[in-house]
Amino acid sequence: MLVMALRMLMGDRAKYLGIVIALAFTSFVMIQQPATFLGILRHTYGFITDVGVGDVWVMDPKARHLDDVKPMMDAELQRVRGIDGVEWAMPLYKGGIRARLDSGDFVQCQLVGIDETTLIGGPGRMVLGKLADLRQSDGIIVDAAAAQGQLAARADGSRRPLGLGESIELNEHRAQVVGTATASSNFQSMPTLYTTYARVKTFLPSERKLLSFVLVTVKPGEDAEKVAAEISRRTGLAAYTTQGFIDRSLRHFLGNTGMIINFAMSAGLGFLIGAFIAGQTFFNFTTDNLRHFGVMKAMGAGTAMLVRMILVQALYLGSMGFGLGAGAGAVMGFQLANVDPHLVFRLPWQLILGGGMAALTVIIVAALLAIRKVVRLEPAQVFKA
Amino acid sequence: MSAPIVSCRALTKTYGQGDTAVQALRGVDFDAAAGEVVMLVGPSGCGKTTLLSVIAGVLDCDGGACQVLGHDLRGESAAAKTRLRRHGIGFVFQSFNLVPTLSVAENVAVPLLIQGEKRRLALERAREALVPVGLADKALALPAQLSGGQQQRVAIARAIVHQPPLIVCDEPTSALDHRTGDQVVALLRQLAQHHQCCLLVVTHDNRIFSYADRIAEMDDGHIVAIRDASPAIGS
Ligand SMILES: Nc1ncnc2c1ncn2[C@@H]1O[C@H](COP(=O)(O)OP(=O)(O)OP(=O)(O)O)[C@@H](O)[C@H]1O
Ligand SMILES: [Mg+2]
Repeated sequence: MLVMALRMLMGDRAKYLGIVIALAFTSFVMIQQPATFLGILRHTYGFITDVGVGDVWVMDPKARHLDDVKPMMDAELQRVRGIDGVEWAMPLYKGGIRARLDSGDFVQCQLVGIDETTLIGGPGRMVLGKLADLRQSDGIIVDAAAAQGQLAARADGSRRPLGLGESIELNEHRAQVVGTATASSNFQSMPTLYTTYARVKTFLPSERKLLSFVLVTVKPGEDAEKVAAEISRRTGLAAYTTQGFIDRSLRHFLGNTGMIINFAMSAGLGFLIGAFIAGQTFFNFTTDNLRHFGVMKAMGAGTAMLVRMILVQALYLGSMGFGLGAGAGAVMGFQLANVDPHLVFRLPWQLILGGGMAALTVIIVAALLAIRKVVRLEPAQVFKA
Repeated sequence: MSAPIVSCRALTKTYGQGDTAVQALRGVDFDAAAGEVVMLVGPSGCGKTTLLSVIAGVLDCDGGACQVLGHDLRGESAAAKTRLRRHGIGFVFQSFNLVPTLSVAENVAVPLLIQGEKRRLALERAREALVPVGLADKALALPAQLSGGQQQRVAIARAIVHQPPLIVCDEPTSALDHRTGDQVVALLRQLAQHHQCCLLVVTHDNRIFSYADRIAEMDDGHIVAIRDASPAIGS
């Protein structure tokens, strides 16, 4: 009888497709919107995770988040190094700089300066060249996506990826590309350039203070929270654990942009529209078939059997709709990310589960309303014309 | 006389309450036996469908006794009545009531599936049941592709596929033209006799009276006369 339930459903092709498509749409927005949102969120702290090492981030107390850098005096580095529990402490520069391309165009870039001896804080994955080559004079490592994109404009008007050995001008100083690396894109979609902390001074001779962050690793067995607190207490600087800093940057971003509301609204609206159409159509489908359910009741089908039939129809529709919607959402998301690396798309399993739950909830609610009607159906109705 | 299938005594049924109450059955005595064809006739609103519904176990009566297939319906639970209908009763309706999205064979298989028969076996038996109604070649068609008479023959196959001892029909011919209606009732009678089942037919249509063994005339909630009819066409 359950197969029959599905045959009944698919026999009504228009309604069947209508429900599946509406559910697919519901699942799609419930997955695609949050996934894009999560992708964008990651831009806001991608720099922290790219650095990859370090337990504690130390910064000027007035710096409120990752992109709000207030440079400190170099002397602060030594003070941090002197604190108990600190295994090592490295300087990190992060700031904007104008790059002049071969074509003469200017592009605003993000410049990252890392410790020359240890190269700690450098890019995680090199595409061309070696990280150690950063020690060569005028050396910079360029973010690979930008090398092929924003930085590829040439004097002859063509576009060719920026390659090893080529140079660009940073603040009227020559900088030679010694490598390319993958870097998370930042929120402003600026190309990221890596160089050594010492060389930042050459590129930015007029800046008096260049120390954006001090990156600290704690001694084995030490608690990062405690060491961070100790650094704050002793130096008057702000010190956060890596996760604490990520949270802080995220909170700042969420609190100061309307983005969460925007995404929640479009996901919510999409959900409501899809839910209404799918639920309404499925409910109508059952109402249309009420007479037949009544006939089956008269013929001796128990209420439990009819309930099972409707649930099977609902589950089938739910999984079809979810499969299509989630599939389309994922394909579209990752395709877009391929086309434009800045459109990062994150699809953790929780989101997929959420999209599935959304489709399922919609159809189950509609099914319960339909079931209520079928349960109340009087078998004597069948003899009424 | 063969085994009693239906035995009602002093049946009463009132719809609604107070001023709007309608007394549809006012003390009906009625019996029907295996292998016989009984027609319930009478003016519109006299209670024919109500009596048929009570006997078929889809409507509860208020007073009196009603024994169907050895079960006292007044003492039975809803679940027991559902079981009784599932195994004991076949239904034929005025408006056929076939599921439009299911094939002819699937429609006929429904009573078997409700009984829990496996789908493959149920469809096989449904196809066999389509042979005596002359629709073996229409097993895969959809109801909408058939004429009214053919659809009612599908409904007959559905009513008989699980070989119930009782078949109830409410106005089985009133949606059909005379000739087709005649053929349908002839077929019903022939199949009922073949399976030795009791056939109750509610009808207005005096042109099919000739297919009855007995005719029960109702008026205003009573059975006013029961007469033997000699079937025009023997089995
Ligand atoms: N569900 C109901 N609620 C209230 N009154 C009803 C209901 N069903 C039937 N009645 C009334 O009960 C009486 C008997 O109805 P019933 O349907 O049994 O008559 P019938 O002999 O089958 O008539 P017809 O030949 O028109 O089908 C009628 O007066 C009808 O209006
Ligand atoms: Mg009637």
